[in-house]
Amino acid sequence: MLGYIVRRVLWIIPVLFVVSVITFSLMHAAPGGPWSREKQLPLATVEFLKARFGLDDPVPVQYLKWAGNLLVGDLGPSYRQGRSVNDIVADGVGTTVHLGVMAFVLSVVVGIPLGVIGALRHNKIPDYLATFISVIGIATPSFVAALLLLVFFSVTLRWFPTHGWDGWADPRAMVLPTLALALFPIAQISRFTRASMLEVTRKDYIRTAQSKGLRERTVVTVHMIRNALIPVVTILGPVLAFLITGSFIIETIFSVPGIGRYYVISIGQRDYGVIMAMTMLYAAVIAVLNLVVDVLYAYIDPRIRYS
Amino acid sequence: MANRTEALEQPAAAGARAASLWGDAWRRLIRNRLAVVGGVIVLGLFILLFFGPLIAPYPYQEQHLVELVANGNRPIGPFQGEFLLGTDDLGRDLFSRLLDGAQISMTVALVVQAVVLLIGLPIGAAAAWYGGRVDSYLMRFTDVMYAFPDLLFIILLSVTFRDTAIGGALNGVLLVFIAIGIVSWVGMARLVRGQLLSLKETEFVEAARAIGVSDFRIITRHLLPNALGPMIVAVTLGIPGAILAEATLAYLGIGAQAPRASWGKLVADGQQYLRAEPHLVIFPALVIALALLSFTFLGDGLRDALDPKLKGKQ
Amino acid sequence: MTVSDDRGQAGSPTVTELPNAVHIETEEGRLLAERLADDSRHARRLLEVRNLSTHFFTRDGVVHAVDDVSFDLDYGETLGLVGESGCGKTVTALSVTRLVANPPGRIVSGEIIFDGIDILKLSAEEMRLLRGRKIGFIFQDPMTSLNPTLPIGFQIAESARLHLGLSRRAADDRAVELLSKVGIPRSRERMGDYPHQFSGGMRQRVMIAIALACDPMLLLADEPTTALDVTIQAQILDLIRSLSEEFGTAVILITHDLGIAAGMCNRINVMYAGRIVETGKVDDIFEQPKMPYAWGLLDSLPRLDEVKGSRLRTIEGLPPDLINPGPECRFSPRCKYAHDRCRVEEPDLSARDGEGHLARCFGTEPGGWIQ
Repeated sequence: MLGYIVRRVLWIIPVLFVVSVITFSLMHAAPGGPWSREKQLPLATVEFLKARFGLDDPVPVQYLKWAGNLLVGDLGPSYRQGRSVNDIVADGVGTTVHLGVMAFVLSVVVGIPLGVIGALRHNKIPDYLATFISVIGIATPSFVAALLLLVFFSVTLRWFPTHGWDGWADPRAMVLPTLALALFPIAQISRFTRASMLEVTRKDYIRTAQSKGLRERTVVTVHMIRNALIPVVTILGPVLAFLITGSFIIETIFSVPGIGRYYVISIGQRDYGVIMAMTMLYAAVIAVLNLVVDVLYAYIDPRIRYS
Repeated sequence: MANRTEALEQPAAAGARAASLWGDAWRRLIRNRLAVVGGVIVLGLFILLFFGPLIAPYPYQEQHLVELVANGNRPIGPFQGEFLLGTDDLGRDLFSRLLDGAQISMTVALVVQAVVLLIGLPIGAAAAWYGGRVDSYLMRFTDVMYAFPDLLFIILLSVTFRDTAIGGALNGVLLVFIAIGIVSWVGMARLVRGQLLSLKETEFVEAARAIGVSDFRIITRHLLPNALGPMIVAVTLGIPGAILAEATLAYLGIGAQAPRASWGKLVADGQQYLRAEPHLVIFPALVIALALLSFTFLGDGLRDALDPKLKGKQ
Repeated sequence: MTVSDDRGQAGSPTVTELPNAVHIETEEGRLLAERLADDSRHARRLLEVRNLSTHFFTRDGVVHAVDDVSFDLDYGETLGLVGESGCGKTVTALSVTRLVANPPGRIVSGEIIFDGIDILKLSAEEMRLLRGRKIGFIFQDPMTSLNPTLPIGFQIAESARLHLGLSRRAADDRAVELLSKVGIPRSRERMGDYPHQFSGGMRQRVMIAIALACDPMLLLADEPTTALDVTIQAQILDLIRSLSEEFGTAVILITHDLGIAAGMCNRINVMYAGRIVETGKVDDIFEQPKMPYAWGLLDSLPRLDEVKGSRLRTIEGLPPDLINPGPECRFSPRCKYAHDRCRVEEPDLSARDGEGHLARCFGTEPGGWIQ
């Protein structure tokens, strides 16, 4: 088990390396530079800006400098905003993480029980209800969900503010963004959990448990749920990845001051410095999160832990 | 003593029915009402793909400024007159624009899955068949692809190349296909590899090799048909993801450019009118939901129908 | 386990609850409460099955998996249920412990009298108390019948904790003891191990330990060795035999292997197409079978003294469809000795030579055409 963990950790390094090369290459393959779309700047100014940001070095040198900086935690400058990316990230990362964690907790706390109940009351009313909710979740893109929630609850009913985020200082502002972000994961988790539970129900060892005269409650909680939830851990990786990329849209629509919103803005502004740095940041975070999920999975499945 | 051969030729008891693989699956699929409904809608969407422009009452980019002005320069609401679902803020018929969006979404779905198959299938098959280092390298490569969150990479690709020739082709739609396809083939490669690996060690493959059948033939004639079921399911279930990705990109302003009417773009254009003229967002949202759900239900139905564990059972 | 005493009444205590807070809902449940108080024998026979019919209601029709089956089992006796796949032997055993999957299966008629209680009249909760405590079940495939995410010690101790009210430590001790008894070395160390860390044979031993955890009166063993290596089979069967002798446990052994049945059982029921077609003591069945199907079974066993190169003997044809079976003898289509009467009427089980030896065949009845 320890060997598995070590191997997985070491594996992240080459992966991130390749990701950095790809990201860097893409940004430099894009025609035009960070300032080419704006009203034509005089050539001298462009040359000056390039030199200032080190964009006149040969490409491999630029890469090395950039990668080197990344390794020590320097995310580089923003070409358009006059700040370093580190500052931008420091400003918003807390908010984004807060939103992401809340959405994650919500999706697990709602999704798993929904799936379990749906499977246990298979083809009866609770199942239809749970399925209905998950159907809505997969049919509604997050931007649509966000807009609809916004218009209905915020603009029309005025229960929640339309924008802003202040963490626990303003709980009402947290509700809609979290809900909009969690909708799709709730649907995925509940569908998957339900399918997993249904499969477990058909297993032989459940019949063994029943032959021992155990209470139905015991059979479900001790024997079924444990086995059904282990596969569910495998989709937590994609769920986390979704929460990260989904935050772009949610933060934009609800004007939540997180780094996702800045990322979208940078895309529009062609601020390659920010785009590259934040892409690497996201990739690194997702790689680590996937690692955690994989290790967790290996830990909770005794067949892997003791082998 | 009864003749043994005659005895064996006795008709099997009524309970044992001769059933072909696909016939069995088809029967199971038909019984799944959700899947049938989904399938019908999918069929309808494909018809729209080819005949949408013919059905559309107006060209999607035509602005009906006269009527718009008559309406106080505001988007026209649905079910009111000549415009079935109303118009947008530039006087363009929403229904026709939805049809254009359907064409875009269905094209995305088809082209992306075609790319996925074209790239993913050979790579996965090669990895499974040749094993060893080839397999290793290919799997490491897919691991790297996995590290990139899909949407992130798609955005990156789209942003990078949007000012190039490809980016401009078909109003930016081609770029979207390619970007989504590049990200999506990994899953198919892994699936194909997994399926073929488990089949590779079977005896009939050994026999075929012993007879001297070429590798290529073994793969195409013997292995792939068995993997066909899961592949069909994967392709079908992958389409909602592609449609969703395209819609999200369009919403963010990447991908299909004006005046083309990708559903995501329609939502983006309509969101500022959400209070007064909600139809501009509601109808695109509904068709998106319809498309996503129909492919998902069809895919679920296919998966249940082709489930090897249920083969032979009713 | 609590049996509340109604003070002031002499004689049998009045109880309002069964163990584990199960409420008494039926008359039989009241009887059960008294029985559970001790381990003695309360009836003439351990098990009396009368006219048991279990049907499966499927889309294609009603499958008569078990049709009007009757048999007895004495305390401590080992009975074999023998027949080919699909003859209803597993469903019979599942019916005895009321574990038939419902839907689509249901026990539609009959009586099952276990230790004097008609268990078909018990409520589901009341029946639960019998399972594990008085009736143990060994399933066929040890690879899938154990929960892969729970340590085996836990899985054994579970029923002891539930039915015997043992504390966690006491139940674990008992589990260790059982593990030793079933032949697993270093039992205390292995309590925390998981099923995948054991071989197939060892897992089946664990299953036996689970089935015997509460010292049941009846053990149902459904093809316990079919999924195992031949070399391990003998060990497992020996284990079952010695344990049942030691604890006085009655065993219903389900198998399609006549050799196993011959070595383990006192009596045998031969089943075909959901009916019992012959029953009797082991020796009688093997030396003087009185039903053509039984002959076919015995005849099909390969023998060491056969001429090399000769073909194996089979019973030609296939078992009948169990959906809407007709009134004729169900074996008649495959029977070499069938007469016209066999094709229109089904024989009853009637007596032959030998104590308790019955067979379902017109031809072998006294005065019949087969001698």
